Amino acid sequence: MYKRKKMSLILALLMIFSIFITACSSEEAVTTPPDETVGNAEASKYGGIYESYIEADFNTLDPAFATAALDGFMVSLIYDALIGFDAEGKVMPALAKSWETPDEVTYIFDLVDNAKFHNGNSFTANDVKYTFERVLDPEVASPRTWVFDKLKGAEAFMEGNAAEVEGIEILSDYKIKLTLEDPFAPFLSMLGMPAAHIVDKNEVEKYADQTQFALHPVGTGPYIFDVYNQGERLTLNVFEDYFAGRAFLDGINYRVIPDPSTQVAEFEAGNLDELLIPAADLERFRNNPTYRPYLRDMNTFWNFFIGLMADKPPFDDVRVRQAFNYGVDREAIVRAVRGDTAIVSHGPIPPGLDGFRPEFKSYPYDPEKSKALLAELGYSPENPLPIEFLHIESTANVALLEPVQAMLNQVGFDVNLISMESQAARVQFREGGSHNVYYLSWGADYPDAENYLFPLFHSSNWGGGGNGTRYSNPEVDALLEKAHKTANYNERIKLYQDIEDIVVEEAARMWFFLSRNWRVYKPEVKDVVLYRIFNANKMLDVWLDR
Amino acid sequence: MESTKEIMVEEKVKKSNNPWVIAMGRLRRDKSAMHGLYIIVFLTFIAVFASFLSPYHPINDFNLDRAFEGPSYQHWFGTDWMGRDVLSRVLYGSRISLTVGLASRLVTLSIGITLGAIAGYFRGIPDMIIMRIAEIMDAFPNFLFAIAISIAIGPGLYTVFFALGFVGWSGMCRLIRGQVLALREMEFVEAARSLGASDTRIIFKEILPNCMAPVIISTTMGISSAIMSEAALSFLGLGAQPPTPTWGSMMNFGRQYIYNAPHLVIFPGIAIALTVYGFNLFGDGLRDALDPRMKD
Repeated sequence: MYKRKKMSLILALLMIFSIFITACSSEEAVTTPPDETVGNAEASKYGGIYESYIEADFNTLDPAFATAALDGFMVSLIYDALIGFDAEGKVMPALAKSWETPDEVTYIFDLVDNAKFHNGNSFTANDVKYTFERVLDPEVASPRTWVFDKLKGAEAFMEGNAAEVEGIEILSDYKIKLTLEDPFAPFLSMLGMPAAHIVDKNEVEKYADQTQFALHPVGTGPYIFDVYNQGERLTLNVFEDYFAGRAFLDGINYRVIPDPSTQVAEFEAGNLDELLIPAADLERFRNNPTYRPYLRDMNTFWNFFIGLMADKPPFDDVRVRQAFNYGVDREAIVRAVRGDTAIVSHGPIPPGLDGFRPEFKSYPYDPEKSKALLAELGYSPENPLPIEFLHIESTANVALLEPVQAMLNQVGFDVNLISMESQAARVQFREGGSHNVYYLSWGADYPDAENYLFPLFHSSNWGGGGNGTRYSNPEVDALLEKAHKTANYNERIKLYQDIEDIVVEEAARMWFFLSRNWRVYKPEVKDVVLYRIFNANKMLDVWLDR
Repeated sequence: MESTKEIMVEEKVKKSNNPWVIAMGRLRRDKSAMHGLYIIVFLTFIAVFASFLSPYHPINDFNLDRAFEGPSYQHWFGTDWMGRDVLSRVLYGSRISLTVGLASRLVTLSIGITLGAIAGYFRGIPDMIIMRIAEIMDAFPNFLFAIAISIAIGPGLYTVFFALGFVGWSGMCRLIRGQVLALREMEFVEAARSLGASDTRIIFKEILPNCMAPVIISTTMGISSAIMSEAALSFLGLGAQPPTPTWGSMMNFGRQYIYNAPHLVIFPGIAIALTVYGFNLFGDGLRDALDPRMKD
């Protein structure tokens, strides 16, 4: 018996040694420059199922409720809006083939006459009117009313004083006029938001319970919703009659793979066509000649932040919020944990949008100042201020937030990290909970600084509207409203910078970093285009050479 | 476990020779069991004196500029993504592992012994009810049940104690019931009963002390599986929450860096393997020593 045990010990040691050997054999470093062209000049081919993944289940596929990035992305594949965005975020025609703006408050759209819903119904101006009014309808209770509430008569409609929105006027089946109460420059871009994707009245009203529509989406988009098994996969099929010409792919298969290590393993096993490379694996992929030519990177508009719940103690006190900001060394954390997959963010307006100021800096790391601010309130490392820090469950999030926790604990906070499954966490973010602090990001719905300020800081957007921290400052509200009515572009941008100054001074949030995405594709994936707006990619360019 | 009844019957026969002394003698001669014991003693020593043995504080001593360093003179096991000393975290992690191992077995023992003794001693309706509940419990895979409990209560260290302790009680209950059923008919129990001893006294003073051998074996073997389960629960994010260093959570978070910093996974992995190996060796030895049919 003793011999057998000795043998098993030797075997166990051998196994551990073999893990060592496997794990330590890093890929050969190469110095050849990356091949810039993932796509090429070959003739595009039709066919093939694109194998991809999503990190979590979607929450809803009803455009009126799509606020999460994943939902918005899926909505844009299944539905269309009047306008779309090119790779850089410039507005381009979609269901509206052209438009004119005779004055600052009037938009007249010429609609395409060949678009059909997946059920065969034709798309007309009536669908546009129905969709927009549905988002504003108080009974629907969409969290995105702010997309359309600038239309003339929207308020009266929302208050139940009008049966229709005055500012939506059907001129013919394929012509519609939208009139605003006041000039509002970002309005055209906002028509590309998930909430502005056109639904078919017949489909929505087919279900007594509207949440059923969210699981049976029918739009005019390039892909038809096919199968969805929760926690497993979502399959989309190509829509042959797509008005702008069918996509190259026959379909897309999204598997639900929450764990980044599994995503990487699946890609390396050849089971996925694309991979968003986790920060921990970036160097390995960059140094591997097999993958290097198929790597693509792009600075995104995703601004990651830590939200400080301003509506209740202790973060209703600006000193606590400032102490939080001074207490975290963002530069060091981003460098160590995210490496080349992020750049430090100093405020709400991200680089790439007008209004961004490269010289603008928020709070430096100053633990002494942080301690002093907390000391004013009677807290110290010996008598710390307990806070609940809610985040969506993932090892990558914990890797990022543990250093934040450690730094804050040193200055006088007592941080309790609480991880929660994505959908449950989002309910808390929207509706509020016992948490004092949460970690999330905000991406551009449309490329305008306004999108990073009005939804996040206007007091009318508390909760699901975007202002998850319940920040409220009458001065900021007034400035945001003034900016909406300012027709002069430069003046408007100046107002946004003034607002940025105030919300950073008041430490409304802790801006953390902007993500830089690195993706790798299988060699047979051609003509990949990366889009800066999260829901701009309708998967129409990409094709498979297999 | 199926032979425990016989063990005890024979143990009783040899009572005059003091079977514990004989068993301990047998245990001392079993080299692999003694190696297991040395490992357990070593781990206990580490757990108790972790704060003296650790070169750094496992949570507060972080340095982001020294993240992902491999093993070196200053950091024998390297550093993690926050530049924390992996050796110190592994040493502190032993506290959690051993505590969970012992605490969860304590929960198992309390529930299992109480219900097993009631079922075996009183038989009839209490027996039927308790054993049906135990059978229902057995219908669930233990680990999945522990996951379900952890999710229901919310992750945390105390949840782990309870979840792992709770899922194991039916096995312990069945073991005790079998023993009690056999012992309650023995002459010394009859004698106690005829002297007017109460049921409680008979159970606690006469029967349970004579069930101890299989309980000790089962508990020792159970500790290693509890440690494994704790590691697995922590690996799934359902165990002790950050920044508490546990071997399972260290492996969980280290896993994302397995290609560029394999030491983050390897050292806690070795610690888990060594601990489980130690308890298994010792448990095996105990079983051999306490089984009178095993002759030298």
